Amino acid sequence: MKLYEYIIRRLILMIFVLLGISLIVFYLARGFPTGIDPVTPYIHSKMTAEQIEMVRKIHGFDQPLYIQFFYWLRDILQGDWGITGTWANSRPTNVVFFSHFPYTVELSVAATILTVAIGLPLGIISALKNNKLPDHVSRIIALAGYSTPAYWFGFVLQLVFFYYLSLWGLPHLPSSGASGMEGVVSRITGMPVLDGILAGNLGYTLDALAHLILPAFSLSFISMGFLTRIVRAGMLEVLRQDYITLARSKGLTERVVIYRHALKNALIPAVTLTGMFFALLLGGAMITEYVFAWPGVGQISLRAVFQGDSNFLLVYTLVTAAIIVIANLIVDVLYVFLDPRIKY
Amino acid sequence: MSKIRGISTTAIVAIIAVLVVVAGVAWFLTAPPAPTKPKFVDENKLVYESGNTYQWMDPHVSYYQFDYWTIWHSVETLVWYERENPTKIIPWLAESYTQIDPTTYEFKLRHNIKFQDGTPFNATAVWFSLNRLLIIDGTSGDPVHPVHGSQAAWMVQQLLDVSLSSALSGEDQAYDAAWVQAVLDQNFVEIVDDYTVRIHIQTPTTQFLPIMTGPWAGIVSPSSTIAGDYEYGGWGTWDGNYVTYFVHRAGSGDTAFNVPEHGWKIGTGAYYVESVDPTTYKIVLKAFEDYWGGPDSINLPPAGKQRIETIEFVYQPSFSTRLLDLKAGTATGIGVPEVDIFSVADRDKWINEGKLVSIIDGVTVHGVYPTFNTWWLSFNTNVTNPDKTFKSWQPFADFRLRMAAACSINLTYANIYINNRLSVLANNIIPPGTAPEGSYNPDVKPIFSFNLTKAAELIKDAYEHPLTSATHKMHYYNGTDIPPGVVDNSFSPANPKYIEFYVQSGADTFIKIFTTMADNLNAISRSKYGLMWRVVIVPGGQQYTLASRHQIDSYIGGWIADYNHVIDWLIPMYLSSGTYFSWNRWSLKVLDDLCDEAVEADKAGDITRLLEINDEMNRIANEQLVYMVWWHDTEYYTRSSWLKSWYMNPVYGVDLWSSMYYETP
Repeated sequence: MKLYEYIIRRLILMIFVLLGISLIVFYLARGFPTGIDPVTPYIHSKMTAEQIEMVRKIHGFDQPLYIQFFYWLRDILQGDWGITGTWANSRPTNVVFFSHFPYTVELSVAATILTVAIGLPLGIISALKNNKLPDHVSRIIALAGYSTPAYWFGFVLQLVFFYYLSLWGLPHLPSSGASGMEGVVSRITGMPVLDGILAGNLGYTLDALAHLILPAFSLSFISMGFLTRIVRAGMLEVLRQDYITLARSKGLTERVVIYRHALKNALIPAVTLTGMFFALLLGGAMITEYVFAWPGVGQISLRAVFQGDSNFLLVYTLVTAAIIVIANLIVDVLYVFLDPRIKY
Repeated sequence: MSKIRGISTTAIVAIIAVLVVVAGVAWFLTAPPAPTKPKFVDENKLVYESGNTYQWMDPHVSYYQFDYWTIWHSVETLVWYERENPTKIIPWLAESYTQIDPTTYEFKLRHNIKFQDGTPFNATAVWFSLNRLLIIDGTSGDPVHPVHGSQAAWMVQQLLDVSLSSALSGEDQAYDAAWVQAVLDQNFVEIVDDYTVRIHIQTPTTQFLPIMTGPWAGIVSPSSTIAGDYEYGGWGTWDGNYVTYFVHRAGSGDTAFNVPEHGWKIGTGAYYVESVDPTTYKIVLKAFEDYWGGPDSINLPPAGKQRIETIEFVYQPSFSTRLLDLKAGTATGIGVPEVDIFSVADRDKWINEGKLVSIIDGVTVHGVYPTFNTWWLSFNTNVTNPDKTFKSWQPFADFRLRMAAACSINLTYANIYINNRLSVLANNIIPPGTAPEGSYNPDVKPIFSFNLTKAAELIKDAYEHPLTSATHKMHYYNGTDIPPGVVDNSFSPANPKYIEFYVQSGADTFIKIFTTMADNLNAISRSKYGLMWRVVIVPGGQQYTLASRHQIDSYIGGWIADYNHVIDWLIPMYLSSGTYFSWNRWSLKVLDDLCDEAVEADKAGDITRLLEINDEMNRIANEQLVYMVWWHDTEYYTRSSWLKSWYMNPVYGVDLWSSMYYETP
């Protein structure tokens, strides 16, 4: 099978996967015995019973579940993704989701870049200096990374890099938010850093970058630990292979042996991990976004959970599932380029 | 490598380096310098962080307290409250008012007041604004499925022909040109001349002035409002006829001003809305330079003090982050949940001395202040299954089980040790300070007190002599009476039954209290009688939905007065078609009759009789134990000590920043 055939096949399969997910999620959200009543987010404490029934009728929540599902599916396909409750100003669900999504993309990209930029070299150094001080330091960092709760690490970062530095009158990072200069540049992509660059506004871009550092580092710290460990293990295994010994015996420089021959093969599990990590982040990092008031989909979906907004949660789950399926596909395709032995 | 007693010098150097770093960090963290002048003082900006977000910012649509905070600074009303006596109503945009007859009020308007868009405030603006409220009659921002009948419109519609209101008539209105004309033909606002209006109501009431203080009665600039709505609605060019605009606007709360990303300048208030970000929920207000200042300039800082230039409402969901921002001087004020009060206030001083004293340098905790709301446990009758069939198990139809539940908690203890003493224990539903004076009567007391022995006796009696037929208060969902034998309140270890307390997620204090009650009651009845009590935690909206459908045994309820008047308590709380009685399915004819009498006494201006009826209704409700009344809320505010001239309005529970300024504490 050619690669493009494989991709088409996977994309077709994806439709069925998403349909299955939507069915399960719809049932869990609307039909499960302890599920949240879909009318919940529209209700406030001063509504009369008649007004509440009116809301139910208007939105079709009084119909049997299977009819609701088909109505919902039809509406989704027609681009009507329903509306959110009053907590999100009763705006269309897709408008709410996609107004927050760029923030999550920016945070995910930044966290992934940091993960790779720090985790990869640490893993390599750790393998090359096996059981020496750099290895021990690297392993401590990795261990700290994946054993530290994200919300706690976020608070520690805020405490040190915002609170104490600001108290001492030193340059410090903002505690939260995505930008301190809202409205200075017009929204093009919805990603503050990118919008600043596109608008050519250096001040805005730097301010947006400053806001990005702490949440991105907080997020990357966890995955950095995992990546370091995976790269270290992969490198150690590869470095013991015969073809590495052969490469060295041919007189190749250590740099060429490590980066051209060893690293490429050791990277396959690392690519899988990074790809999945990135995909998961695109679904929103609820706690980190909450702590740093980062206006991404993670924070908004957390609010939707507490409000019982099944309209939003359905869309959120479907889009997140699609992202993960697509990320899986991209990772699988990348294998072909990393390891020519892999065929589909 | 050289070694000292087996330890390499590298290791020793490394250990010393680590110790130095640790000591340095410890010193850095534990010895911060004294706080300096916060940045917001230099910028003359007020930053308020909270975990709340706005819902609707159009004054004629909103009924949400957090929205009022913004709206009050931007839009003003004909009458409002005196600063030193913040429940006393005084003329505001009006220069004076006179009641000509029981249904007619004449307002002389102030001259030389400008809207933020530069247009003059006059009688036409009053006519336009108050009719716009009646004609919008909707809340939802959803243009496809507008929800008709809004709390905001309802406030004033109750004074007029209720058949023209979706909420009050129970009939969805046509919202066409004929309906618009019918609303206008009520002649609610009559323009006498450019600066005089007469307001005609159809039901005489002493509530008229309190109702006119609400944000829903805010006066807006006709030209900017119409221009904004036309652009937002894509309605083309306005033909200059107000009726044309009203026909477009009829029945829809989806206006240009709910989520004004590019701000608005439609009010006469001290600040205009500079921007609203629907993604970050940040709201920025800017000082209106030509602000008239309020009566006798009471809404401006003292002479020589500079008004705060910018107000920012920032959504910050994490309390820990808010607290850091306050301590670091990047936030002027923050929202502090009740459970976190001792993160900002001295616990001992509050519990022992009743004083809220800040434990943070440069921060003042203001309060506590009474507010007009009450929390209670609703005991429901006529509980139905989701398919609307009547349940045979009706625990709270039985007075003994209501009383047993009420006796299972020491509310005084709960208020001190669970609620951190942040409320005032309630005797009945009416909070202190309710108008007219005398409405609050602490002599009408609850009939229960903490007594587990009594609870055990009551449960035992209910077990031995279970309720087996409907009481006079019970009827089917469609209103027909329930014949004997349908109700079966028997329970035993072989036939166990549950009683559920519903509570909304996040309401930590209430959850703890319910858990204590359930623990106490289960200790009495679980194994011995097979009667089990449990707490069910659901989102707030879910709780209200289930309550409105009569599907739960009980829930925690709260009423915040829409305006300060006793009628706004008696009707929703005690009338069988009122909000809570309708949810709880209580139907006491005696209370219905008294509600009618109260309205009549109010119409006639007979305050003495109104107060007598109020006492009688509260007494009956307490005796029947229709609610287990808990407490009246209080408010407190955590603000930078640099902020001076601080005050708040208890009726709407918001602090007002128009007259505030910064000064060294």
